[in-house]
Amino acid sequence: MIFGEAIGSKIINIEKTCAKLFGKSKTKELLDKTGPKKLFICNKDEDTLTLSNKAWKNLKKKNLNNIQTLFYVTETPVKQFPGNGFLFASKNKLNENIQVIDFNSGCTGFVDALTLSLSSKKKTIIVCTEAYSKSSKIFNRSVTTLFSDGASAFIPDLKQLKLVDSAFGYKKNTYNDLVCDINSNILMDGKKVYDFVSTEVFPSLIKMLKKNKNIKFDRIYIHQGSRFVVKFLQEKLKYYSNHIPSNIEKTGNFVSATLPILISGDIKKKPFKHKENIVLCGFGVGLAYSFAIIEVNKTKSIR
Amino acid sequence: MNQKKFLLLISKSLGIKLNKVSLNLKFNEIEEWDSIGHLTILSSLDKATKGKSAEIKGLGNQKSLKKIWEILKKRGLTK
Repeated sequence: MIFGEAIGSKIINIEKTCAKLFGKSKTKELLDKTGPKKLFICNKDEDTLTLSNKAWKNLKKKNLNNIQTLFYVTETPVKQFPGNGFLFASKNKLNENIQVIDFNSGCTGFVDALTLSLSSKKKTIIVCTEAYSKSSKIFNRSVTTLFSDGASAFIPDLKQLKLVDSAFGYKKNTYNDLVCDINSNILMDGKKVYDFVSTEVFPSLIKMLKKNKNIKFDRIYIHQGSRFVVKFLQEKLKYYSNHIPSNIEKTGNFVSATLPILISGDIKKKPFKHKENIVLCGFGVGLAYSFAIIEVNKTKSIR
Repeated sequence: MNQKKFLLLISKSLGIKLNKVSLNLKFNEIEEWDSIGHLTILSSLDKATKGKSAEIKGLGNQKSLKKIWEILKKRGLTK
């Protein structure tokens, strides 16, 4: 599994900003819950499209003749329409006979796109890119302290990856709990999101893991919502896997690009062995969750 | 957990004196019980109830100690 990545080039020292606004003691308490001390956001020349182009360039993939589909995931496209996918395809000279699908998906976006890609058995490019800083013009303690801007590009190797199981869901009437109205700022009700994680995401994930009790889960990759949520899930899931990595403190939350960036960083430190089962757990905007169990068989790689 | 222990847990979570805590206390009524304080309360309750309180739907949305106490009591997690 090889990912191309790109992150916003403007570095925000959240610790310093918060210390000025709330004092050192409250800042410590806040960062203990949120996680990142620094965030990476777009400068004025960057946006979701330029970040995704950069991620694609970093993937350094040359043979694109057999690509059939492009899944392009973002909630902050550069135009209302067409979706970024078409701009991305043109800019990067993708074949004109591919299917371009734009997803308006948040933190579940990568799992949504990957499960569709593996189920369809089509050669796919998955791009996840997000720039919440573009929709967060005023300082908001819940939002401004959490989200970084970033992108990832990935071509699932259909011989190497096998979709074992998946589960999806959303909670009715929770769409305003994490929302951005047109030309407005992002709003998040942290209490309600936590309630969703503890009473919907966690039990639903356990249900899927128990359903597949014969499988050894070598790694669980959970969406890096916040340090508080990550710690909560790491603690609850430690009986199911002894490898549940986190990068929230180092990088912040990249929304749909979070999971690919997390996996990419993890496999650089701990490459996949012969054969492993991984669990992907995305959750957030909707409020919704998307899970997948994927068998990674390195020996079958076509790379 | 009895009511005294519950109030003690809240005072520790919010970092305030026990005499400032009563079941009448509401979210955002004091500076310490803001959204960060709220997460600390939920996390402490989860530890104290061995993971059971986090499974209660809607508990995280409650905005008064009385309501939180009543829900925990209804679930048999407090006496």
